Amino acid sequence: MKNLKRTVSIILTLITIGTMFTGCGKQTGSDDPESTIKIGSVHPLTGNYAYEAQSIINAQKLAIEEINNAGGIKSLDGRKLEFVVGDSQGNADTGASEAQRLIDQNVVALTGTFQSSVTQTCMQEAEKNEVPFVVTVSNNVAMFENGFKYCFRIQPNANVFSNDFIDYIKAVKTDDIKTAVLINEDSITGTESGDVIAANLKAAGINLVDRVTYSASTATLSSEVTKIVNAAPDMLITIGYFNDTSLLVKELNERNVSFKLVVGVANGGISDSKFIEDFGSTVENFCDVNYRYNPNSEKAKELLAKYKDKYGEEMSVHAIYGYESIMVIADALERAGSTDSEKLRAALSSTNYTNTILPQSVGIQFDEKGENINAAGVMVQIQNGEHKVVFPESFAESEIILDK
Amino acid sequence: MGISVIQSIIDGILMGGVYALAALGVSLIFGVMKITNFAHGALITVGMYMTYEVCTMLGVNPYIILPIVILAMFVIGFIMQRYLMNLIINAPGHNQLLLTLGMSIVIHNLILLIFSANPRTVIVSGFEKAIRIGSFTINKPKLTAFVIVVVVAVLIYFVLYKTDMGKAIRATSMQREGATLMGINVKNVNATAFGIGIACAGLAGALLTPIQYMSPTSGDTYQLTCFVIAVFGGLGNIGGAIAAGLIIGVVQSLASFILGGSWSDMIIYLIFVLTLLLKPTGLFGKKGG
Repeated sequence: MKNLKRTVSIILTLITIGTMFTGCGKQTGSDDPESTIKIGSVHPLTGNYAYEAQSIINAQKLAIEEINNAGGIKSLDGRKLEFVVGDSQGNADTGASEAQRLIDQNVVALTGTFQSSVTQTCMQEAEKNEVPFVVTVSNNVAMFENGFKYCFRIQPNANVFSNDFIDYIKAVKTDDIKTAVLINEDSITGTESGDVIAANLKAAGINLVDRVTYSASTATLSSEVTKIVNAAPDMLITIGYFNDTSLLVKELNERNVSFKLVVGVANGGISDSKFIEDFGSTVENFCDVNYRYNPNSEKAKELLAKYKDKYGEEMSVHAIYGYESIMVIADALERAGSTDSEKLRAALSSTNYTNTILPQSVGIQFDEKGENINAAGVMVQIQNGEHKVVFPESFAESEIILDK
Repeated sequence: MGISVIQSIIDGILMGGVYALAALGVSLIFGVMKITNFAHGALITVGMYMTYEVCTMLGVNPYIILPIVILAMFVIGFIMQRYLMNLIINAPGHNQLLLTLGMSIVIHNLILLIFSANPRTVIVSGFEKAIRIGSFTINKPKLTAFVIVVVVAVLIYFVLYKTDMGKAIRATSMQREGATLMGINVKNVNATAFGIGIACAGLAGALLTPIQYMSPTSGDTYQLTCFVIAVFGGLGNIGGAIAAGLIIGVVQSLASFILGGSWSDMIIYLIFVLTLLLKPTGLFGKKGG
């Protein structure tokens, strides 16, 4: 019995120690022309945003597979891509050290990181080591104002989203929508978009009657909902991630609160198909101004089907940018014909990627800051349990429904 | 405004009940073993996933399977203490901290591996709409949780003060060596107390499944709140933990309502720091304890 106890204790201890080292991966590869070309990815695979992060990683893997199956990077004798992953745990310092770890493994480019705070530190590591960094998801504006040379962003930043939001609302709203409450999570992402909207909402002819902020990891939003109920606005504007937006809707539904219009801004909940699965008809006609695939693109439809087939769930909007980040890097590698970081950087900055699945009429092109000059959001609405793009007209799949 | 403040207080009391239950576990474990359990939040998450799995497997309401969760979590806690925590019961505090922290990392990653990061929720039919009384609304899952917490707190009180095991637990918490000399099987007492503490965490997790979304780190939100409540109520003081849980619930809710959500956590930690500075034995702790 004594021995058994000891054995069990030893096994448990070993498991504990073992798990602590799971972060350490193998180290291979170099500039050997026969070897693979490594692309790194830093995302919060554990923590609050593990769900979103996993979908991005899945899409990136899919992109790598597609490129490899199509014969790798042709200008580099068909060298194959290899995907190496780091876990930021949602933490800026951990993200930076993971970025450094991947750089030490000779990645030619890095991608990441879903959270602006983490992206900032990772971008600094990349810039310092002169390794190109392509943002998958992060919409903070300021981090592209530092004059970095090696950093690129495909998605619309917070200002683009917020300005698109104001423009789209101006175009689609009816006259009986006069007041709004803005509720946003209080990290850099939510605050920045929230500030722009709060400052410009007047221009859309809407009066902001209250602004409510909360921490995204909160366990309850009942006080926040009480405030919204008190303000009784025509329109609710929500900026948040999946879990917190779901919690918000749950508490709103419990109290039977409804609005003439609910619009998210880059909302991780409203634009997620799981959100519709969970809430059904109660979220019918909710809108979101967000990034998305181009609904008219056949390539996008094929990709979505392929993703669902492989991973058993709908491809999230975040995942689309994971996919595009790899495609843009591969395109640059192809044109650079080299894994040299300076040549790759130059190729990235002269990108004109037209084979994109994003809702933009022209290709992905970067300005001197590294921002995609053609990036734009679209407004989607949940109609009959499906996301439909309703604005701008050039990408619209359906007309917006406003009389609920 | 007046109505909304009362509404916030109601919401705070209901949420405070769940906090109290989770914190009761921390307080009991510390009281008996002088161990700060950093895996408590992770074990709340285990309770959530266990409830979710059993519910979807049997297709039943989460409240029906609570006894299963309580029992299973008790067994997990008992075994954990017996074969893991017991090894370091006399080790310096930082070793205990590292072990429980290590366990929480193991648990997080196991849950992530087994269940993936997809957020899940349990929807209880008939519980989607809140009860309306005049201008007030009462969230049904929170009310149910509150009632269950009250029942469980009374039960734990009964176990601690009316049974031999309870007497042994209290004796051990006062003086471990003394209890051993009196012929108390301290090993069993420790494991039982740890089991009860973990069962509280698991039950809190189970009661939270209809309230919020679960992901592999959901329980962590409660980890620090539990410490604050346990310290505020006086470590090892069961009644204190309950009262402190309710107070913290109300403070959090009112702070969110009046000052905004970003403030509520700050105010809770401010209370924590002030308690440590001004009355380290807690709101209801004895002097010099």
